[in-house]
Amino acid sequence: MKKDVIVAGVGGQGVLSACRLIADAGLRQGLAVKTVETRGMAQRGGPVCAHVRLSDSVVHSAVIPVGKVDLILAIEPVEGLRYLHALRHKGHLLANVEPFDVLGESLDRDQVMDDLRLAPHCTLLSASSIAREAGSPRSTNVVMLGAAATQLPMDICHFEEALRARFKAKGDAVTASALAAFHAGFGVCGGDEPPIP
Amino acid sequence: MSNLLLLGNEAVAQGALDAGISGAYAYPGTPSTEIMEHVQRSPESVPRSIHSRWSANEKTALEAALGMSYAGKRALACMKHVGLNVAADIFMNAAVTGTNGGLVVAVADDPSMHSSQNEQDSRIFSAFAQTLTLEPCDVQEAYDMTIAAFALSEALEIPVVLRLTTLLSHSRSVIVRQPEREANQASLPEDATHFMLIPLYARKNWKRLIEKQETFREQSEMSAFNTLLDGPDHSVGIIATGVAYSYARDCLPGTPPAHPILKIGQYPIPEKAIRELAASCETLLVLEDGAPMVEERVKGVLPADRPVVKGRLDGTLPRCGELTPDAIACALGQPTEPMIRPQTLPVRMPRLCKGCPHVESLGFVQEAMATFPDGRVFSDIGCYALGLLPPIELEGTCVNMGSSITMAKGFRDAGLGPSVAVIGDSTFAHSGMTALLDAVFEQTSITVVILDNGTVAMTGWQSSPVAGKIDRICEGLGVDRGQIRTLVPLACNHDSNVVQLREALAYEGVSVIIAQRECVHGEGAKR
Ligand SMILES: Cc1ncc(C[n+]2csc(CCOP(=O)(O)OP(=O)(O)O)c2C)c(N)n1
Ligand code: SF4
Repeated sequence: MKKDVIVAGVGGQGVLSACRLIADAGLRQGLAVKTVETRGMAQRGGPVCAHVRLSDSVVHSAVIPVGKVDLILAIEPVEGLRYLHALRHKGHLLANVEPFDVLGESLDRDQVMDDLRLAPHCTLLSASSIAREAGSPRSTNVVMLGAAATQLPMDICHFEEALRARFKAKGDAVTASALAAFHAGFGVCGGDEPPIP
Repeated sequence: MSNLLLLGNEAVAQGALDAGISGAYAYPGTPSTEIMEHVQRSPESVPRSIHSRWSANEKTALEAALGMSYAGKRALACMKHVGLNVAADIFMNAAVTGTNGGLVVAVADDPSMHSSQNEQDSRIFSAFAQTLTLEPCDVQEAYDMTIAAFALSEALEIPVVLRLTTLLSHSRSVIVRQPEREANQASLPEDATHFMLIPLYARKNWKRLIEKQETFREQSEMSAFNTLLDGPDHSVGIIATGVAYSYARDCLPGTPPAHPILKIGQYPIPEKAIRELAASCETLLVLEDGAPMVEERVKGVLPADRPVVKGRLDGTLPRCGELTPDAIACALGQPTEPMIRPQTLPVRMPRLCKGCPHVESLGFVQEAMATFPDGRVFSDIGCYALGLLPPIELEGTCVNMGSSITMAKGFRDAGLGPSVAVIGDSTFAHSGMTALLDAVFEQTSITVVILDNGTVAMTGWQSSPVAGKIDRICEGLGVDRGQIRTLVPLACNHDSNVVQLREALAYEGVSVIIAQRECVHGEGAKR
């Protein structure tokens, strides 16, 4: 078993955080994990992307070759398009359809939606709105993580543990709202209803 | 001892901590910054009194690290590739003095220039200095090699370069740790003349460095980091260094792989191992991230006609940019999958943050200069370099740290003007002060606008050593008190700021404007 995932978005959207949560859940599942992250630009609004490779055997390179990506997790729609060429012929694109404001104004939204649907399998969701409704407007990335959980080989409890570990220092309320955002994304993409915590 | 999920850079830092360092010295720079940040965050740094404050620049960092080595303790110096240019003088000479306590110089190169001005390859710099280089292929090896680098440095009395690339620096995986070593007790060099590079001793020490080269070559032939993984098909033999090795293993999975792979992780190159591989292969394919450094040297050790050596020089692989697994698969003639091509793909560029003080500063500079078609703005490296892009599109320069002031001076010396330098506070501390001194010494008519946002924002809000004292520094360097204007770059001050800059431009001599307002992420400013 192996799963190669690209997480894509814009600086400030929590791409690296989503990447680390997937990696952490993978390790809790007992998988071999390697990631590589774009880092280093303090400014907002530039493209950010991370590769995550999960496998039950050895992973050599952290970089996913073109044509081998199983899942693109796009926290921003245009950033999802940027990696479409790397998707495997049966690959899956999970994309938030709500664009990040900087490009928002000038964007041909219909064309972007059409292009996103070029992916062999495509799930589109309004993750930013879902995050807002879940009472956690800054958790678009965690909503998308919930959506991704429906496509990844790790048990839900491992994602939950990863989230708890990540938000522990921020207190119970923040952890609870992150878990709510996660389950909202998971539910929208057809995951089972969350267990009562 | 525990297993940790670490970035490549963090693995280097952890390796250094476990190797028993007494200090780390660095100036931030992507992709190297997280090495120092990990040392700073590590719980053991405080109780072990490990030095971990940022230095003013890479030269001061490496000099301090050599001083610690002189005292018999282990020191790590970290920088990005262009930082090694700044530290070149001490680097070349530290190879000549050699070390007492272990000294490792971790240098992160940036092929594809994700956040740099060029793609220079530190392996060539290291070879130029005649030191020994290690280049890890993955995060675990980054950890293991750092520990090995300290051992080699102490055994061979030489600074060891640990060459990283962006991709490895920013890869993350679980590492298995080794038992921690105790830090060294202080002990002075047995032969103090090693550190006296006056001609009498320098000649002796230079000869000693030359004589060490044979040992370095022997070490490379024996090194556990240089290994041959044989494969059945010898029509092509592969030589792979650093992360390129992990790509090669990805393209040629299985044990044994389809073709033999000679992995190089320790330099100078293992000539014997290369000749042995070459003897049985029709073609050699050299895979390396960065310059065709190994490729050139491989050609140097083999007969001219056989085997054929392929790589970045003959166009089998792209000559520049990060090496990718895709390029390697293509070079190996592996089939590619059809790609999905979207109709639209808007370009998205990073921008200055909303409310960034630089937006206002560049705004008043642009307006004040608008009436001088022959005037020029020489800018520098930092967040404000984004002002060269839309929407601001300042017609300025961005060359190397500190060059704004000295280029402005040269422009003025050439008889053109007005001449304005725009430089960030940390860049001013790094290499702007001596530049300003040159201008003051000659009373060259330039205006230096120092953007004091209180932090090194570009690389993640490290502390700036000149915070709160730039005006006094400028005065101390000899700028006329009346020509040092401090103002606040806010929209409501725009008009008065333009007026102040115009007054400064009219002055014959050096004038300084300090545009002082915190980065909007100022709260994040740290250490
Ligand atoms: C020799 C060298 N070292 C490090 C860097 C990386 N680097 C680029 S800009 C910068 C500092 C910028 O700080 P400052 O001038 O205060 O501007 P700010 O980003 O805060 O606006 C650093 C460390 C570099 N490009 N060259
Ligand atoms: S990080 Fe700070 S200095 Fe850099 S663009 Fe943002 S506000 Fe400006």
